[in-house]
Amino acid sequence: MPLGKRRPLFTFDLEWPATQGALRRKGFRKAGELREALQKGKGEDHPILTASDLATRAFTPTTSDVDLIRTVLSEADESLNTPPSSSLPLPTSALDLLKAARQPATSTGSKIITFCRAIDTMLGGGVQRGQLMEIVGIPGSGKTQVGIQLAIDAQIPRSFRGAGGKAVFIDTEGAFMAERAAEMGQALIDHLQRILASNQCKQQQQQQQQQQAEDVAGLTLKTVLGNVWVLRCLNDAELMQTLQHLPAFLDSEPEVVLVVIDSIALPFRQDKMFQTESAVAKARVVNVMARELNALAEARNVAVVVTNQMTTKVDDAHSTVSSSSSSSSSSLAPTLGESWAPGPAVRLLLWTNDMGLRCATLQKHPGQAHSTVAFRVTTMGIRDVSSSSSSSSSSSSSSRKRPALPPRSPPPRQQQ
Amino acid sequence: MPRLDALGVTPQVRAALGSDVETAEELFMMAPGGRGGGGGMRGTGLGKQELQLLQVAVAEKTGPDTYLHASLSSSSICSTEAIQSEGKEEGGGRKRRAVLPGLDCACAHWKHQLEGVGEGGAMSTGIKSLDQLLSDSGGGVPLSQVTELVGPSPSGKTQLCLTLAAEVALTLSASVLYLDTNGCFCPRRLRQIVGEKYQRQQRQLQEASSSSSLPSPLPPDLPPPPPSLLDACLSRVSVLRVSNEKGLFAALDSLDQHLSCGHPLHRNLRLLVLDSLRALLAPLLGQTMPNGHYLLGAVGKMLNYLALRYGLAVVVTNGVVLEHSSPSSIPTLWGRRPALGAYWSLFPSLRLMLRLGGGGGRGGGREGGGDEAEEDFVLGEVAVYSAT
Repeated sequence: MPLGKRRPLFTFDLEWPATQGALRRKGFRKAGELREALQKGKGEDHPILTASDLATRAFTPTTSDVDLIRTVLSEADESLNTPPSSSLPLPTSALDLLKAARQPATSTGSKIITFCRAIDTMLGGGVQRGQLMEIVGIPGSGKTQVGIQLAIDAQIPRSFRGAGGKAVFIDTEGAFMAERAAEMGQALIDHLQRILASNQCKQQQQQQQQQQAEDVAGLTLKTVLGNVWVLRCLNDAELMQTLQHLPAFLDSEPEVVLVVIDSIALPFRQDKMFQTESAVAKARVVNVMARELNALAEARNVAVVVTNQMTTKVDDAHSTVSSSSSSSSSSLAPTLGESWAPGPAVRLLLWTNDMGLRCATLQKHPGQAHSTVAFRVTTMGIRDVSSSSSSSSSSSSSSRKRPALPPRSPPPRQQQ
Repeated sequence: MPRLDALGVTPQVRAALGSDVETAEELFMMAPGGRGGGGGMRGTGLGKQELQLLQVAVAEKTGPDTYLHASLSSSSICSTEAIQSEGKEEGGGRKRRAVLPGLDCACAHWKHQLEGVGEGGAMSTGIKSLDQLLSDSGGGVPLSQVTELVGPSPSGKTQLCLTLAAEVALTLSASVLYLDTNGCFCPRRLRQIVGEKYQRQQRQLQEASSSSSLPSPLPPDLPPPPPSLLDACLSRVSVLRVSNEKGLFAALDSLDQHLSCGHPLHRNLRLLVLDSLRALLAPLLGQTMPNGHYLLGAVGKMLNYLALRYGLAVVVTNGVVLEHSSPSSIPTLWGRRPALGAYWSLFPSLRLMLRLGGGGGRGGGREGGGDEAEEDFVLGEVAVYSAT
């Protein structure tokens, strides 16, 4: 017997406790029962659900309830002979997904670069739109800098193979500095002008060149900074409210391609109100947040980049394979725990190695290998370690500076 | 609590049962011979076999969480006299079957379920060491059962799901449905895995065929896999993005309808992957959700039903909680235990725990059945990237 007839009513999207409670009191448990009851005419011995019936059960007597139930039942319309109703979701094949991703219309502008070619290559071209990405690191590792750089780079015009959109920066730590964004923005404009000048020397398509020239002319420092919306949240309640209003805001501003939240951990760690709740409640809030951010990213095709802090985790000896002989070892791990960790599809760890070189390790990615690269934070923003663009010199110099073996977690500051 | 008269039990049968048997639950509590389970003698005019048949038939109709193969015909249960008179005739067993046609299949299926027979064997994962680890369940991921991959994030669960999907699409030429909750499905990566698997298979074939000759130090250059083959494999994997539990129910419902009416989309479906169940269902657990555990149970039962009815291997991904976070009766491995609580842990029949190794490997331990064999193995580079 197909599932549809036996599907319990509480799995449908009906209100609780008003509609569900009333249906349960009437004795309806399965979708099939409700359908049969509504299809039989009056006068039968089966109890029929009418608007007045619902009214006697002491909740809001609106006919919309009955309409809702009817739509529910049309959802559960099944028969072995007729094809399934079209309102149920149909999956797409992986081949179609791959082809759609490769379409030039969608592939250009689907990634937001960081201007550090090593990081971009490691990420598979840049930060992917429609995904939730997490940047973790101890304070001072460069997370906010990467966030600001991404907010600036989101505006690279489509004629330059960029995303060509606006950005939203949600700041909870107060680390967003407009002067820094101005520096990076000016560097971006200079960079684009240089590319345009060098393209004019080469043989380029007239139309593309014209488009590029137009875009560069339209990019002034004022517009670049104006395309970044900055929201400041002081505690976790404000952050929650902002996240709740974010979908509506994105609907009103359809050009937004990137949302940066810096950081998502601070409100949950420092607010006293949140500290007193139980661990299960905290885990649930964090989990719901992860789910909503994922849904937001996918529905509106924006890249959501979230910054997370690190905390010390004391592992027992058997939790890591290569544990030392001591009975307990401490290591750094991202905050918010395991209920947040499955949310982001990509995780990037920023750290500094013993020689003082800034490194970025890809710890989690659905399609790219885990690797480590080095980067720099300069006046102009995030850049590669070797500034020359020729491959031979850059590879030799970067291989010298590349760290030998990245540890699973960056070396903890404290002694064992 | 459905009433017996609503189910179609005739008044004569109800009279024979006694006046205080009104609902299905009370019927189940009865035992033939007059001694009921809830206290007090309950005389009944039905014989043992008739009562059992009646209970089975009623359970099939109400059966809160039992999904049976055969659908009982909608004819109402016949009267006591008819049952008894049929029994008296010669060949009574056969006659009784004719009277209530659907019951035999129902009884057989119930027996099957009670004995816990897993039908269909197992499906090879394509990774030799993993198959060895799973030798108890038949050398691979068991069919008709729900398997759970448990591990912190990241530990390779999604990669293992992609590997299984590639194995099914390439080797078995069967189709896969991948339910994705957080956008972790990467078709490009799947194509890469399928390509490398194909090359590995070709290499093995070459080595097997040329075993008589001297082994060459370098493997010969293999031709790249034909793109038509890769495209065909990719087209066998269907992906659906679900963002909450309502979407999950709708997806499972539609899958059941498609499979029951033979939709060409899911022809020869062998594997159902649900990636990151924890992200989907963890909000259900908590004090403020009124029916969170109901929904959790409904998901578990739906998955088991789909696995059992259509012979699928259902693979589910779960997260972990640390050992000391809250007391629980589930055993822990490596200081961690599967998330979603003790109630959820009843639904999967096999659990694999994964973790990242220190120097380029993944450790996989098997949990469940009291067997905690822990083995470190390195999943080959065909499927999963090593930790370095």
